[in-house]
Amino acid sequence: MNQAPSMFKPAVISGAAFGIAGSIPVINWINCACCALIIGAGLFAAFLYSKESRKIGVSFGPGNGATVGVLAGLVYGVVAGVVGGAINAAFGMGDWQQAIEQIQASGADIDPATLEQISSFMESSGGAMMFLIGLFFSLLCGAIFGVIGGLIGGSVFKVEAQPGMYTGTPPPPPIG
Amino acid sequence: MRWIGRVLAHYRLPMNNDSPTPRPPSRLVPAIVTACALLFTMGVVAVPWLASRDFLLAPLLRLGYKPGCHQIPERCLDLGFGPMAVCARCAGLYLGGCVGLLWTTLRNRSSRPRPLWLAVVAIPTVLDFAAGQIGLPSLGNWPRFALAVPLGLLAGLYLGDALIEIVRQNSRSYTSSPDSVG
Repeated sequence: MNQAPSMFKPAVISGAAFGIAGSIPVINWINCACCALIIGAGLFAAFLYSKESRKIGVSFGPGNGATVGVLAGLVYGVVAGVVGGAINAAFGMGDWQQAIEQIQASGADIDPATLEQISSFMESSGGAMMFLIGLFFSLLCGAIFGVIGGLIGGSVFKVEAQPGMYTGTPPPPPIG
Repeated sequence: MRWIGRVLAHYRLPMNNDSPTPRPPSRLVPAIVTACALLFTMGVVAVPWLASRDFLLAPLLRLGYKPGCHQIPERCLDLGFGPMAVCARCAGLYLGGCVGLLWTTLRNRSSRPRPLWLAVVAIPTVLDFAAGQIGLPSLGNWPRFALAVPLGLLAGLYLGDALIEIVRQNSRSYTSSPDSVG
């Protein structure tokens, strides 16, 4: 009986490739369209996994797609967070002052004294806090949109179970 | 009448009344996901409406849509209360996705279009996006919205199909599990 292939390889390949793309300043604008890069990471991971499943002769469905998608999304989150943080640190982009300006531009009614306190705390933490916050949101978005991409991929690249194919469900116990 | 039996056996259909007819999968999970998607999409219109009535949380709600959209006001649709919480393209994707999910949930049957269609409906949106990025004249807000709706619709149909498939698989493995007996 065939064993289901490992999800690690497709998740890492897809998450890393899309994560690097998502941390490059101009290419990451694609994420402005509903986090298309993260959904793409989940979709591509599902495609790679379905190819592997078909080769071995194992069924592949949306459940597997969601799992490999969330893994790819998490890898995307780590890679985009780390590489993006390194690029921001190297080129001096994405400092906290920009984030404050964005919050003020959005019209949010936040006390200026509170913003001042947050701003001074962020500056004293030397960018490490900004990096950790970025990594947290990157992981969160990666997990959510990775699942969506994986689910869509699981439906698009579905591999139907053939007779005698391994489906992951154990056979029923013998009667009598 | 023997040919009927042969046809039924060929398509593996139940041949007598003793064999159990497969029950349709539960609608609960797709319905919850569809309701969440509808709420999220309604928020896109509700945010500017709330903001026009000086609702305190409206700016924070708008920030909630920020991770998935650039929210450039000139590229957002305006229904008379101010720019929506997401751009026209994202609004189209969300609306299409909701319609797809709603269609699957109401029918309680998966509608899985051929994967080629996903590529076909994605092409106009991808071309418009690429044109905008390289500085070529881009479409207006309403055409951009209209082009994104079919892509969202197909994504919604695939999502709905995935949810129904997962629910069906889980209910099947639950009923076939020896622990669930007695």
